[in-house]
Amino acid sequence: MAAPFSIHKDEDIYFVELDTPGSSVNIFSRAAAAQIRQFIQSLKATDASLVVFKSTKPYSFLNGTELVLTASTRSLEDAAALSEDTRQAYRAIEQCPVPTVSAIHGSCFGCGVEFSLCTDYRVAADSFDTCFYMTELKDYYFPPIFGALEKLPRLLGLRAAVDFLLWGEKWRAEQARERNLIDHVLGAENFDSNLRAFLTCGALRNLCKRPILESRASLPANDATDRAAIRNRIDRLPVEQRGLYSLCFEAMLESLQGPCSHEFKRKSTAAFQSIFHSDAWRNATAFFFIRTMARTASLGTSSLIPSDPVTLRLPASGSEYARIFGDRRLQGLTVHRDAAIGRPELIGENAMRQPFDVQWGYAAEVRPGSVPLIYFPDGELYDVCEVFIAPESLPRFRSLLVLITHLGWQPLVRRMEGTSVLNTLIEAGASGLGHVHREAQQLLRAKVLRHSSQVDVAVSSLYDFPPSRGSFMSHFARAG
Amino acid sequence: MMRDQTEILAKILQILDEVCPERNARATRSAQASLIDDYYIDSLKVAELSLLLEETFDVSVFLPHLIASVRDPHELTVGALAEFVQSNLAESV
Repeated sequence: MAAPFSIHKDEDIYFVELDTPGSSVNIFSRAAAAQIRQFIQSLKATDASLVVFKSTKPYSFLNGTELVLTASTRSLEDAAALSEDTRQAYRAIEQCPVPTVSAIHGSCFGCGVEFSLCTDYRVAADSFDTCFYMTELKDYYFPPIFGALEKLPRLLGLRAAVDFLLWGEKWRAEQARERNLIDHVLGAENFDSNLRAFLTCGALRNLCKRPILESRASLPANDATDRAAIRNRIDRLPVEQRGLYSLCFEAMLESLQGPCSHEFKRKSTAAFQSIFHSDAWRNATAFFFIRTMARTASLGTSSLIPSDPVTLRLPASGSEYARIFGDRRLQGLTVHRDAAIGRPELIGENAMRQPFDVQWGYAAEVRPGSVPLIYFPDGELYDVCEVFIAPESLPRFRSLLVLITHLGWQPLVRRMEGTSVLNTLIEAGASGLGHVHREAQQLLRAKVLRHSSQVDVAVSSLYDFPPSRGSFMSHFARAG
Repeated sequence: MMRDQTEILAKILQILDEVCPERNARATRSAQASLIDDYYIDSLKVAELSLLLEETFDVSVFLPHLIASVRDPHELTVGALAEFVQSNLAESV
């Protein structure tokens, strides 16, 4: 298999470009860790003026480490052993004798964020798919272990660090710049040439090493109020989540005071150890796979890369979704607003027009007509949408549906008949989640949906069912 | 319904060829092959593989349960996967 990074030098800048072989997203594998360490060990301060890390994989800068391996860990020792290669590689980047830059275009999740925190500078593309998100607590109920707990409070301040790390806020490039996570935003169109122009401009000629942990932390004036509000919010979390969230919050506070004390490290180790005996962590990790299974069941692929670029013609007025689709600049998506049309169209090969319908906002009666229908039951509130489509039309719409996942919704694909599954689940919710479970069982028995993971994802979105409880369908089946 | 271990193994190898076309050139297509080191399986492919196995064998095959059950990720071989499928099939009877 090809090496994860390709490394080339242009004048006095090294470009280190990640393209994880055989995967639709970049992950920091053991092979990637070994390659980075070897490269940096061979580097001298006089070899180059900059080392720039970037991705050649569309839609992904760095999405994480090898989750398959993490899912088999049972103890802190297992986790430490598995993460040692990554830890050493990250340390090598921090200690690289040449100043380093992360040039981020595409998703930057979890240990991808932690990777970028090891470089001295961070720049990012202003596209909607360039998204910063700390997955660990929100998605996996697992503490970040590659430095985010120590670095983020120092870099962002306590409030923003908590929003990002504990509450799982997703930031696009401009938001990340406003909060000091990155240094500069670059235009996404022609990102590579914008990057090159930026790197070679005069202002960057005298870059120096800039380790985050050597910066002085500053406490905000309203620090005590902030801390009380955060602790209150932690106390309102599902019971199985409070321990880890409290621990991470205390670690963030401690990092603002200086190096963590021996006693704190001892307590943290014991608390982290307890995670490996908790159902919450196993459930949350399993939920990541459930989410991917739901997407695969709907789209017929787990890939997050559309096979073709997509062009849409959307009505020019009166449609909120058309504004959102147009405003969220996304690689591979071109949106034309046209006053002359009332129905959206997907422009396919040879300019062939594929009309479809969009229902934006809740409607009591949702049924497809003669063309595919995409139903967003509460606009942006829910991150799931329902797609009525005939199996033979799916290949033509698949790239659009993959892009809809990048725009923020998980498509729930079903046949072109019957009424809305999401409405069924929403209406059943008025009588409690037990009723939702019974309705979902009927939908699966009738094969309206392909797989139970699709229900799990819908319920997670509609009812905030926490990942730390795993599959909604399994949870209720166990509960009887 | 397929129950025979050889038949299950053959079907799994066929599905792995589909989901993970970039197999380690030095690895043999056998029960001993490692899902991680030879088939380069990642988290997205785990989900895709789970779904295809469920549809092929008409039984729940949630691979994260298999992954969580091993002490060492290198125990995740094609043979271990075949045993997992067979055990799920037996439980579903």
